[in-house]
Amino acid sequence: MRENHDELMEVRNLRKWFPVKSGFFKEQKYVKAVEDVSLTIRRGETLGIVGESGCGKSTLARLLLRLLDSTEGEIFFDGQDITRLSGEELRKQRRRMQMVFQDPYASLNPRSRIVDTLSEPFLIHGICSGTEVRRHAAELLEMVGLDTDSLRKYPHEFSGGQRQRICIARALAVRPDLLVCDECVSALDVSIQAQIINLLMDLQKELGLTIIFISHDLRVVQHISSHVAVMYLGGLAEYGTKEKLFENPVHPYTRALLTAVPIADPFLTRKSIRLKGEVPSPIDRPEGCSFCTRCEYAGERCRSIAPSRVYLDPEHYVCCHEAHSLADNREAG
Amino acid sequence: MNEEILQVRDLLVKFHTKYGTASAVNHVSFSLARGEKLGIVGESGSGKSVTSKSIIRLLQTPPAEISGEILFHDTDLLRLSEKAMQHYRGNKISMIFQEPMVSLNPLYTIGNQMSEVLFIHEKVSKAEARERVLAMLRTVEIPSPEERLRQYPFELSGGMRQRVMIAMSLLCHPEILIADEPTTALDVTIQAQILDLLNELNRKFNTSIIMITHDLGVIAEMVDRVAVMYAGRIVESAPVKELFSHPQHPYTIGLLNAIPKMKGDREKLETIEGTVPSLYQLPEGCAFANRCTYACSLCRGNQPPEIRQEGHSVRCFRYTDEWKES
Repeated sequence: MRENHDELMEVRNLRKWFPVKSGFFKEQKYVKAVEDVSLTIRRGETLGIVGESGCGKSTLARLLLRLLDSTEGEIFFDGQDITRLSGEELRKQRRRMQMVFQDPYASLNPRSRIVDTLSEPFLIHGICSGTEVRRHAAELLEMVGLDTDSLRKYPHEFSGGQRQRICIARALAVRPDLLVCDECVSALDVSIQAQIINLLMDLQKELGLTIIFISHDLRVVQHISSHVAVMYLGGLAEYGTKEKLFENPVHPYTRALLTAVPIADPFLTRKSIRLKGEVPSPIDRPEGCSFCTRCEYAGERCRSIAPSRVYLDPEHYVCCHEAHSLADNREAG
Repeated sequence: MNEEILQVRDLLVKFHTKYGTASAVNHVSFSLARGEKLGIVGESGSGKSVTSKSIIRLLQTPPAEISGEILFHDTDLLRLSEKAMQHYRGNKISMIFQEPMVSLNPLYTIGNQMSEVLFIHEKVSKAEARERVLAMLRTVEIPSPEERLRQYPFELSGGMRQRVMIAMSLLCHPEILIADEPTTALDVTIQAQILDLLNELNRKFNTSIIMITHDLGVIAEMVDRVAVMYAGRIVESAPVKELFSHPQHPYTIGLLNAIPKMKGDREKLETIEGTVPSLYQLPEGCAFANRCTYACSLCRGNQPPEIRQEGHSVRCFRYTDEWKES
């Protein structure tokens, strides 16, 4: 057991390789979905994880909750390594971490009433029973801003935003410490998206939640997060507090990603860095730095040796050989 | 502005379904000049895709019932026979869609389906078609185009497929390109590449573009003029800079405030409370009235008039004389 009151979750050298079908005589290949990820998440923090499709952010989220088993590495949740837990012990820990998914249409059972959907967590974890369940379910609905009439209704009677509220209510039923939101506002319209983001931020304040917020939408991540991790091809490219990362990005990929976001301001003519080419396949990762095929600064060393983390300060690190010179450049420029 | 090549007048699209009649597009009028980039922005169900599909006549009738006028130069596209329409579709006006995998035929090679466009619309030899396809693939910056000709859509990445779609839609040098959420399924870095490409093609061929999107960022980056749609109506339309600096319709204002800003702090986002009314039962008055903070009995009972001022038009009672008096 490790003791540290501040840290809720610590991830060390986490890997997830999915085997790919190959011929009998051929070499076994793997999709290296998550490669050597290490992270620390403190209580009350909101960690945003950004990256493009296929970069492994959803796999990482599932690994953290042990919805998938990792290939290698350790995940300490409140001091306990959950990669080694099983059965009853795992269930106890799971109660403390919950997930909200992208598609609220697909993640609610269309054939159960909301009251049944919301009571299930109470019954499974034996939190309460009988008439109390209904009272608790009603409280949950109020907490996410729906009226208690909704208890009798079925999911199809709600709009997308309302369904996402129900999903959040269900996740909060067991009073988790950690809430993982995997693209939970991506399917919603802008005006509804804003409502859900506000709701999450209110709930966090009220309940002291720690949130891992996964999204490809940098604007949303910047709004909600206190810390941000940028993923590229299964690994972390850069990690830092929101201010550091958005105001002073160092990794060439982070810089390109930030300037690629269209800004809703026609008066702004921005200098943008356009990336050439596309993300390589996670089966045949390039040797050395995974970003070297698209990086304008890539040299000999980048193509042969994988960069390790370079700490620019205790809360900001970059996986890049050129980190120091890029950071200096930025300051000078 | 240059000559207007497309004029949509009083477009009305209804769908008769087993649940009732959905009014998807209600009295929409707009025009498009040569070389102009027009953005149509709105949330899901606002009628932006239906509007664009009716221009190119891709809606099945029935269930759709379309009325109004769509004048391309002086021809009313809505009155053409299907056969006559084929002369325009893909030739003078073409369209690219959100999901390039679904819009390409998985059973034909890229070379095959691209040259088919030329065989249908023009009299070309095989060799000539191949040359023109190759040239267009180079224009949209597809690496090693000779190889791509022999490949099938599944062998290409999402960004590459969208480039192929764009190349295909431009083969006959259309006067209008309708792009329906062309970058929504793509990652930001690829989206940036595609937007750059569309801008460049617009300059190079002077093709007019109708850009349909829900992303105000894309609008700000791309277009000259914007039309904001809500519940099947254009509620506001203005040149892009004017719209972002002086939005007038309460919906536009709400929409602009709801986007997390890149300089965002962890403050509360402004929201538009409530939800869009059902297209099956649109209210008699302004469709936005149930979510609008300014709404009064006038708004709930009557359709707001269109108020025009130097290229900026808005449908809202707040800007009428009656409102100012009261």
